Amino acid sequence: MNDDQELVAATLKGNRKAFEMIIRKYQQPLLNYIGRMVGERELALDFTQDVFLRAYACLPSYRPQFKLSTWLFKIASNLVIDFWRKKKIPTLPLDQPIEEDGDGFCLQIPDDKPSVAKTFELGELRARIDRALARLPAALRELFVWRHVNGLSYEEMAEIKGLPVGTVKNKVFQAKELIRRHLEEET
Amino acid sequence: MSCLGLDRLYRYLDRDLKPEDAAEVEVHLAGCPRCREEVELRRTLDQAASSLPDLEVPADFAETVMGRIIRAEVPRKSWLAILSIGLGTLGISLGTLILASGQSAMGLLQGFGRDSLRSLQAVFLLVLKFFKLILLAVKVLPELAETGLHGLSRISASFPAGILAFSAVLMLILISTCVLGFRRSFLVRNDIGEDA
Repeated sequence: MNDDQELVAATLKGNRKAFEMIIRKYQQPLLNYIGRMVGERELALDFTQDVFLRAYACLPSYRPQFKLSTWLFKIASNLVIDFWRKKKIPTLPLDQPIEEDGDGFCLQIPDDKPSVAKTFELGELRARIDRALARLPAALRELFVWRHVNGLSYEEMAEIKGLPVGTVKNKVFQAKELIRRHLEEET
Repeated sequence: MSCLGLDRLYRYLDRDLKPEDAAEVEVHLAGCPRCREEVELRRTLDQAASSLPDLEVPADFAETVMGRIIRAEVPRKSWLAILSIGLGTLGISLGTLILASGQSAMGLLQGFGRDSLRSLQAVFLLVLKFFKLILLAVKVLPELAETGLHGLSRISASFPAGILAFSAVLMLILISTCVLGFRRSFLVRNDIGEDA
């Protein structure tokens, strides 16, 4: 019994073991996402627990035409947004253009410095990306994490956020460029 | 073809371009070292970003969540159980009553209606009598208070002042002990004690 829909149906019939299997399947991706959104592992663990508690309570309203993973990420995203609002962390709406400086979203003229990719080993590059993520606007960070850490498709992200696929793609590209710029600034 | 814009570059890396567009990009990359370098840089960053380390999930995470779910469910279920038992008992009692009376359920219902009306009348009369009693008490109370005070003054006149003062202090201590004891027992019963 591994199919998500079967696990949901079994849970709704009162099989607690089935929900435990759902938890085991999604605990890692949800923690990876929430952890990078809130920045603290302990807090992220609490939020991940809350996602599953909410999911269990709302399971009767889950519609099987949607993927369980995107439904869980949507619950997690709402929790994270509530957290940002309570902490008064600015969340830039995704339908607004995000430009940190004048050159916007186009290729830069390369300078003589070696690129970050050539300067650092892969491990060091990962650590630097993780740090640069914290500097991204929250809404862009969320899409970047979903795309690269959780491996969600653009269509899944668009479904979760209720945005056109093209908008989501554009924002992910912007997030990548901002990360690259932060890395270049550090070298 | 001019150099790649970022949208085209990322869509190329995402394999999101039509085959003919992708082929055109590849032709351009073959002849443009700058664009080639930009593509390689972003490819490396994509690879690094897609292999970020997992955050560690505690081994007992799923059990902890299930424990919270079970704890949340038990009070709800016990409340439902009490309600079900109550309703069940009521149903069984009514059924037994109907069977024991040897009458039809409809006859019992009609009888219940008649009885209810009589009961209402009785309650109404009782309330009326209660109000009459209160009115009588209001009339009698001043006379009663006067007699009480008169009696008290005669008692106090026949005892020395020292004994009276001692009795008053004793009464005060007794009343305070009762009030404080009641307060403490109330706080403990409601789990809002001073120290707890």
